[in-house]
Amino acid sequence: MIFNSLTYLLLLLVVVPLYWWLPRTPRQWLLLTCNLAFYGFWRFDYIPVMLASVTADYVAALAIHSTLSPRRRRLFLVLSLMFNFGLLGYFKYTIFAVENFNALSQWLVGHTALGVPNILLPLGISFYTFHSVSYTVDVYRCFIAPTRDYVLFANYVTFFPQLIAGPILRAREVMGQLDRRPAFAASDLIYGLQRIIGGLFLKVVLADNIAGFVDDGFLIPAASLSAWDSWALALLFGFQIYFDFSAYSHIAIGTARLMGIRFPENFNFPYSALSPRDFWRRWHISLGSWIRDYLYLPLCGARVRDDSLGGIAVAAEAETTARRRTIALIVTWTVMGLWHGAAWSFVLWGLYHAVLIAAYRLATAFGAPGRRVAAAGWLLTFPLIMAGWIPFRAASVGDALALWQHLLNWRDYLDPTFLGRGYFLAALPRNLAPNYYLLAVALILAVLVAHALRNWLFRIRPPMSLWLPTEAMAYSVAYSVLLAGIFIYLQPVRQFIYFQF
Amino acid sequence: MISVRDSSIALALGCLGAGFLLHLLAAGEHVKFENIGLGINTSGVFLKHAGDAVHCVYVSTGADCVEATRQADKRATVLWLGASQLHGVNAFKDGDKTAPWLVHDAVLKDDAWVVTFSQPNANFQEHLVIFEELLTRMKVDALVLAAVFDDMKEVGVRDEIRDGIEAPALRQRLETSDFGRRLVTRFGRSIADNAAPAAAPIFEEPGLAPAEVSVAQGTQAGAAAAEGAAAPAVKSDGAPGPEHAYLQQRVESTLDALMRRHSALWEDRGELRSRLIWLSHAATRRALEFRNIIFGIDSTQWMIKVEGAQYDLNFAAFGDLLARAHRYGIPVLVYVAPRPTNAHFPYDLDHYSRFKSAIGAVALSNGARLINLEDSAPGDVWGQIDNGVGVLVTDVFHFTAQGHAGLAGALTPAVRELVRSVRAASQP
Repeated sequence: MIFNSLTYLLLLLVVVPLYWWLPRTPRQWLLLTCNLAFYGFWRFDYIPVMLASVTADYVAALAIHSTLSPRRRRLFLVLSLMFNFGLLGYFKYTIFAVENFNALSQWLVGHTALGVPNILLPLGISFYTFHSVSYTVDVYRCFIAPTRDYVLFANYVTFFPQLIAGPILRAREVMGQLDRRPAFAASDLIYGLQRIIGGLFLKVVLADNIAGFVDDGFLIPAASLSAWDSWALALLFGFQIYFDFSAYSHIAIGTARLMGIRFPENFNFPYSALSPRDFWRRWHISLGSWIRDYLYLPLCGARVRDDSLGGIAVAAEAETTARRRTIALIVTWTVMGLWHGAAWSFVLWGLYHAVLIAAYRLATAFGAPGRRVAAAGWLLTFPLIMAGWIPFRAASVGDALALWQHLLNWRDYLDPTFLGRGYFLAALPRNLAPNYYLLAVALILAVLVAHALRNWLFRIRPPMSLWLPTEAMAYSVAYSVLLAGIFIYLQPVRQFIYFQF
Repeated sequence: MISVRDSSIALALGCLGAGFLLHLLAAGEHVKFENIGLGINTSGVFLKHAGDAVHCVYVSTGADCVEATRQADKRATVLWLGASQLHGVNAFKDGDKTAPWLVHDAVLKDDAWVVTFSQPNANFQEHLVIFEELLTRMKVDALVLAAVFDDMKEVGVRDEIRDGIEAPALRQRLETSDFGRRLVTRFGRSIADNAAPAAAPIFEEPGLAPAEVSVAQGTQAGAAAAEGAAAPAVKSDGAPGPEHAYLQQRVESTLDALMRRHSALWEDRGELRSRLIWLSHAATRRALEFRNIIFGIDSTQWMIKVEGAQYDLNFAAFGDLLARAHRYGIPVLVYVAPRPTNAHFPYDLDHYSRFKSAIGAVALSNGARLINLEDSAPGDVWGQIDNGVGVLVTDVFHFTAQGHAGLAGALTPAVRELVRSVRAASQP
């Protein structure tokens, strides 16, 4: 099921009251039924795959917990990991592997060796695999005790608000809340609605309308574009994916809150980041912290921290060598790229971020940057992050490199034949329609204004006492615009970008 | 932090405010997008010929045109694709005829049937989709294409045309070329497909690679191509055809229909979206007017830039369209559209010249014929249009019925010749 649909709103209207009305056991079954129906609205035939993953980890966790033998515990863990990543590998990477093998075979012996298999990627498999794996690993690490309640565990992995695109939750964050329903609070209901409204607006009004520009722009051969065009496309896609993905997180968090369940935040104004490292503490926080705890830190040979603040944490740096950290960084980001998609362009995107973070580490090796330097960091970080979206969105590595080439070629920024005609803008070679540039500039300004509003406007206190506080008044005006926009644009014409991962 | 009480009040006020905004927007004037850009006193005219529909806008709304060609099955069918110049008539009065009507009438005695599909600001990507979609519904023996320089800047494929790409048969046809595959990837994505717009389709069925479209010669070519397309529905991305719509789609359609039945405002959402676009255009216009006043810009000498990127993309679509027609054995006549000869032509004339040369070269390499009709509507036959900043200038696209007669008169001999070539090729 897709969030930006009438169907989903209807589901909430039915499920939320029932959730608060039913006692524990029927409530658990209600949630499980709802989760499976939510998933089955896409395709019923992939529900068994998801349940197989759930069952494997349920059994593996109990098996690990049942023995004190380190060898047996490790064996059960390895079996669980093999099963989970085997499923993920089969569904997500088989075609990629076969295509690469065929390309190699074509190059070496002049013909392809394997037929490309007929495999459809199950929705959300990357997300629920990470859920399951984190649970089993946490049991192995003795961070949590496994549950014997299969329905509860299945609800943790398949809980519908986060099933398709996260946030990636740890068992200790939500399992208790799912088990013992928090007390009903009207504030949760209001807060949940606020988040859902905000998320729907970001998705159906902003992301979906920017998408048309982005899709048209990336359809154009890179050779027809200039440096300014490449920047415009990178910026537009950067905003599209931010609005799209953060919208999903808003709606997920809001939906969970309607049921009194608190999810961790997944975004925190990522485009105001002052460094690449800061960006990854603000963008897809749950994935950053997952990768850190279950991949990066083990690769570093460092102690695993028991928090989820997001980003590739550096708390364990003293415990390992710089070389090992660098290797871990590269491996981590390659995996991060491949997790997003089975294509070399995603690997390129991952490695790009590895280079950014490594460069930042080098630059700050002799001490933390001062306040002014940090502020200037935004001016550097923002364009670097935006340029990084190019391989993420481009159809191929070749296209991505061609667009990057435009960005790096100073001649692409100015057309000398137009200089001296008295109209400076004419000297900036651009091949896209003016709307692209206007929209990109408008979005940058809008984000800056939103940031300013958040920081300053709501703090303004009127000189007299009003019937409604200024903040509430501002909210009511905002809701008017948001709800009208959602009403006009709500239609499931586009799925969320992260559905593919 | 505000209290629960204040938050609830804010939410309730927000609902009321949204209702107010929506009703305010709904109370505005109806926006007729088909008439936008047609100029002062210019209207869209789609004439019938002896009761037969011979001129339509979209395939989805042009069942009459398709049906009429089926009635005239024995005749050679000539498909004419163009932009608003074909249906826009300045100072229209009863009895006036459009170029599509006149050409249809003229070649009828040659036992040929000309059917025209024209859309405002149509580009070659859209023509490519329409051409292939029509081949799935009717036989096409020859094709006439209008080459309009201004339309080379137009972006994308509009909803009315892209909806057709959801049909597996059309997808299959489009995917027989690189460019077509890119179009399908961009515009043919169903909501239920499990692939992001960013990536190439995650899933392709190897056994269902785009089938070779049968290539026949002469008058049977179109029919053969159409038959080929009528093959059983084939999915190429894991998405079932409409007959096997996902549960999500079915339920959503039902709920949407329910909402439409019970809420006039919901029913009007398409119109509300149009009005928002219209409002943004109006705001842009005000901003430009303000700019012109401040900087003293003389907007009578306005210039329209045809952006290189869109130009390249549309040109690639043009090449692909001609290559496909060539492959199907459908002869093509391309003409450079008329333009005013005695008024300011608001384009980079060097670019315009290069456009004509390039069109000619691509036509030649694909066995198509090119004729230049840019001077076929001379004199004072052109309308006037607001150039976007409140200044009336010559409308360089739309003319009076006299202009239509000029275009038809210049085009008819070439169409007759096209029909003769079709007949000659069909002789055993």
